[in-house]
Amino acid sequence: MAAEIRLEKVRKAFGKVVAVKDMDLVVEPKEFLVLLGPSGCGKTTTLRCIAGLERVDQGKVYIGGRDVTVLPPSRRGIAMVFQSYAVFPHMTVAQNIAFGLRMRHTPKEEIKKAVKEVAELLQIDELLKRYPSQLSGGQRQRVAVARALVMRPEVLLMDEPLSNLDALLRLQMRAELKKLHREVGTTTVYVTHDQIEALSLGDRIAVMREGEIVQLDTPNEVYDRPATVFVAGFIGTPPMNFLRAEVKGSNGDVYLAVGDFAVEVHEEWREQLKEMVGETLILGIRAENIEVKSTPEEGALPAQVVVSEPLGSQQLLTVQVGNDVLKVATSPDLSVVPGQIIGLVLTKKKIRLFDVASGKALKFE
Amino acid sequence: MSYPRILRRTFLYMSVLTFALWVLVPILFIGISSFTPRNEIYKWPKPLLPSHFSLDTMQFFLNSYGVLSSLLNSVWVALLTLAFTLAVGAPAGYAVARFYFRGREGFRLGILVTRMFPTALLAVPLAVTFIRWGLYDTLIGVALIHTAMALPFAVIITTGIFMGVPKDLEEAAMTLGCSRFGAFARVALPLALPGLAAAAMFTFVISWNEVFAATILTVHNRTLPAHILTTIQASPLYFRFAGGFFMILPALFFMFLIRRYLFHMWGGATAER
Repeated sequence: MAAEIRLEKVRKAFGKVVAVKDMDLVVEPKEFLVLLGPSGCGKTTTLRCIAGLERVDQGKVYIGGRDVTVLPPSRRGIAMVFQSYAVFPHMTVAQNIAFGLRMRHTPKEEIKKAVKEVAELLQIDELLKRYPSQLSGGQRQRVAVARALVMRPEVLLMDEPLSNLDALLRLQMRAELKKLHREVGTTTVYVTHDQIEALSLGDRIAVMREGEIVQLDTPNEVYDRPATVFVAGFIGTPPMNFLRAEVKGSNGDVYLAVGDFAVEVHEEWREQLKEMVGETLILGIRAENIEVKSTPEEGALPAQVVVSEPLGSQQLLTVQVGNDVLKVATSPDLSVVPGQIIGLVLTKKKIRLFDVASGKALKFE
Repeated sequence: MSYPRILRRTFLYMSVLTFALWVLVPILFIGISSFTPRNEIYKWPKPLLPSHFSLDTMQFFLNSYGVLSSLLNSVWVALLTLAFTLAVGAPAGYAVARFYFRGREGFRLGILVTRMFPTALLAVPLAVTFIRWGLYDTLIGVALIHTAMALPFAVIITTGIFMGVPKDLEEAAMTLGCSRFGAFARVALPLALPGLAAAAMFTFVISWNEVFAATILTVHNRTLPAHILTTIQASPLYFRFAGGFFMILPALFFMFLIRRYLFHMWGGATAER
C-alpha cells in the first residue's frame, strides 16, 4: 500500500537552468516528507519528476522498488494534489472523484461505494452533485484531495495544496491533512514554501536551495540545529539571529567576542574552539533563546531597543547590538521603551556557530 | 468632465456612429428590398417600407437557374473547408498553446505571412497548378484554397482557446490514469468545445463569403458568391437584392453567436503565459 520512493542522482534542467542537481533522496514507506524552500529552488520540479510530469535528464526514480524513470504518470501508482486543485470544471464533484477509478475500469458499484466513503472522510458527501464553480476554495481543495485518495495510491504527492486558502482555513486544513495522513498512511511528499506548514506536517523536512537538498532532518532538528546559515535564516518566525563573533582565548580559556562583550561557550566546544582562536564565526541564536534583562548588567550583552511589538502571547523586540539587528522574544509583561538599553543573556546550549565563508554549521564531536 | 474630454468623447462616438451607419444602412436597404414585392422595387420615389412583406423576390432568386446548385456547392465547399481547417488548425493551435519548441514564435508569426500575398497575385499560377493537378473546377480544389485562407485564423483562435484551458487540468487527468491523448480528449477538448465551435463557424463564414478564388478556379461548379458575381451584371435589380441579402445571412447569424468568443480570443491571444 505505502511504497518507498527513491531518487538516485536525479537531474533536471530547463535550458541552462538546472532545477534539480543530481539529487539523492529516499522517502520511507508511510513517511510524510516535506520539500521546503524558497520559490525557484526546484522543489516543485522534484515533485513533478516523481510524478512523471517531467522527464528526468539523468538519474533514476524508483517507487516501491520499481524503476519508474521512463513510465508515464498513469503507470506509477501515484496520485497528486495540485496547487490550483485542478478540479475538472465540466464534471460534478462525484464525477471528479470517480474519474481515476473510471480510467481504471473499476466496476460501477465499487466506484459508487469508494466515492461515498472518501467523500464522507473529507466531509463533502453533501456536495457530490454540485459543479466546481458552485464550491468555495476550501471545498474544491477537499475535492482535489478526495480525488487523489480514492485511488488508494502508493504515493501521494501534494504541491502547495494550502497556499490558495485564507489563513484560518489553512490552519484548519493543515491539521486535517495531518490527521488524514495518520489514518490513510500513504507515503506522502508535500511541497511548500511555508516553513510553519513544513514544521507542523512533516515527519522529515528536506530544505532545498538551488536544486539541492541542504538539510534533511526531523522538524525539531531542522529548527534547533540548522545545517547552514540559509536554513537557519529560512526557518522560524522570526528567523534565527546572527551576530559576528571572534574566537578569542586567554589563560587557556576560550570565548566568543561580540564587539567588546565576551560570550561564554559550551564546555564541550572548548577543545575544538581553542584551535580556532583568531577566526571570525557567525553566531546564531533564536529569538526565544535570549533572556532579556531590563537593565544592562554583568554578564549580559548590552543592546538598544529599536521597536517593541506586542503579539499577544509574546512580545517581540527588535534590538541593536553594534551593527547587528536582533529579534528577541520576551514576555508581554516586560515594559521597555524604544531607545532603552537592555541586557541580553544568550542560552549557551542553544547557540549555533557557522563558518563565515561556507555558511555551514560547525560540527562539535 | 472637462471640456476637451467631452469633445474627444463626442468625436469618438460620432466616428463610431458613422462607421456603424456606413455598414448597417446598406444592409438594412438590401434586407428591406429583398422582402419587397418585385414590382415595387423600381418605384420612384421609393417608399422606406414596402407596402407589404413578400417572399416573392426571395422565391424568384432561389428558383433562378444555377442558384440552387451553386448554393449546394457553397455548402459543400464550406463544410470541406471546415473539416480540413479544424483537422489541421486545432492540433496546431494546441501545440502552440501547450509546448515550447524551437521557432514557436516564428511559427506564430509565419502563419500570418500566408495571408500576405493577395489572391489576385496568385491567381494565374494557382489556376495553372490546379489544372495540372486535376483540381481545377472541383469543389475539393476550392475547399483547399479556402482552407489555406482560413487556417491562420483558425490556428490563432484555437491557440487562444487552448491557452484558456489550464495545463494543470490535463496533468491532473494524467496522474489519474489518462494517457497524454486521453487527457486531451477527456479534459481539454470538452472544455475547449464552445470555443472550437466558434472557430468552426468563423471558418465556415470565411469560405462562404470568398468570391475571388472561387471565381477563378471554377467554371461549371460555381459556389454561390462566384455564381452571383458572374451573373449579377445581367440580372434584374431584385435578383441582386435577394442574392445580397442571402449572402449576408450566415455572417450575421455567426456574429451574434460568437461575439463573446471573439473578445475572449483577442484577450487570450495577447495574454502570454
